[in-house]
Amino acid sequence: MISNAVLDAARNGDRQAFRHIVEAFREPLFRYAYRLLGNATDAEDVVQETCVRIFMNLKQFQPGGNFRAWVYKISTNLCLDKKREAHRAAPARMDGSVNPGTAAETREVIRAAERALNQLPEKQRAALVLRVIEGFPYRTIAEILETTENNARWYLFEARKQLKQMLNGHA
Amino acid sequence: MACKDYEELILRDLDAELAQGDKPRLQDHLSACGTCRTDHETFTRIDESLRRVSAPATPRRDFASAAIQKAEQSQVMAPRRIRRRVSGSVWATIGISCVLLILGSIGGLVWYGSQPVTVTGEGAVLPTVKMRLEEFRPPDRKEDVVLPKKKELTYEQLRDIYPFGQKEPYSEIASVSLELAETESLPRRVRCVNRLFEAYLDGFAEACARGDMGAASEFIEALRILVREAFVPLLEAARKQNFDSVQELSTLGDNLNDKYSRLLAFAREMPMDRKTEVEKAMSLCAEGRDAARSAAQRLGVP
Repeated sequence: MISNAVLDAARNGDRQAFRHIVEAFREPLFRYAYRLLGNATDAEDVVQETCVRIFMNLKQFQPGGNFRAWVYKISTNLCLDKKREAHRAAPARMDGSVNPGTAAETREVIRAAERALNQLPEKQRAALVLRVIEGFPYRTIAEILETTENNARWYLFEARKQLKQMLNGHA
Repeated sequence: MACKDYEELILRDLDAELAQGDKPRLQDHLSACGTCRTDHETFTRIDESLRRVSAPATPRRDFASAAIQKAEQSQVMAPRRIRRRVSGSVWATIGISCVLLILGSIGGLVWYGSQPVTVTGEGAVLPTVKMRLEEFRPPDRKEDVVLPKKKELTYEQLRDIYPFGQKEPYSEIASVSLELAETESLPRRVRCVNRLFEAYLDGFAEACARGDMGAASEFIEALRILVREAFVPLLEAARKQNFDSVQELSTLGDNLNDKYSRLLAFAREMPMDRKTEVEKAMSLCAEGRDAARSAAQRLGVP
């Protein structure tokens, strides 16, 4: 959680405050971008570019607004752009590993979930990650994905239905 | 309530958004229905698995310094504005012009705001209106209609069999369209659903313009089912079956975008109490457009 004082300081050019913001978002943004893009190199690029955009556009952020949603919106747009760029390339594959010590069966289910997540349409995938993993309310998801709340709900509804089909036999 | 209706309650339960009143209803159903209970467990397990999908360790990179450096570089690279000295008289002229312009705009807005909103007549209806509401109302003929083989259904036959004004048939249109998606004449089926979509949209626009918001809501329901249960899955099927008229999908996306823009213009003419309905229709158009474009894009149309 970034305090208003830190935000104000960063907006006024305080670099230490900006560093504080980047440090707070570095890990969650990387995990988020990784889940949307499916590879660590692209995720790292997106985090870097998100930081640049935050630095350059911080003055445009409306005080009192949802800063976390604003940051995720920037990051989501960059991820979607990245996906479009890589459209003709071979489909991305998750290159991460599961937590050590997990039972083999559970590990297989998690791997299957990773693969299935990677096959979902971009916006459905983003909505699913934003809701299930990041815990954003639908209203904020709609704001991040630049759509209506009903559409956000529908994206998630479809994503879950598709995952269920894809994971038939695993979950 | 059918199992299908409980699916939404199950998903709301996962999101911890289930209304208090719905909780016992869902619990009762889950204890009685094995299929829904399994669905509930599956969805819960999927969510848990997703939360456990790990990412590699975040690189220990100094993102902040790199961002500051990159931002400053791009500011240096950006062309600087050339400031020229401007004489006082020029500033005075510009100032007076601005004041006059602002006063003129305010006057214009005040005048425009005082004008009554008129929403009747052809001008208020979408330019593409081809079908009248009455054409959707042949329910008396329903008993006489002999159902042809689904494979041979044409758009006109669909329209006759599933007239406007009866809730159930909309979902039937959707399921028929989904079955048709399995046949080899997929491009024609996509066009057929698109034409139904257009027809409902036109009907909606007319109902809105007439101020018959009950009818407008029913059209919205028809559009919703068409888009979500027929159109989007059809496009998805088109994508999977390597639909050969790829360009058509792209054009379809453009057409829906065009309808979206017209609805936007239409919404501006509507009084406030009707805007919500128009926004719903716009959102459905946007969904169809995105689906068509995404299907076309994945098949290689730039």
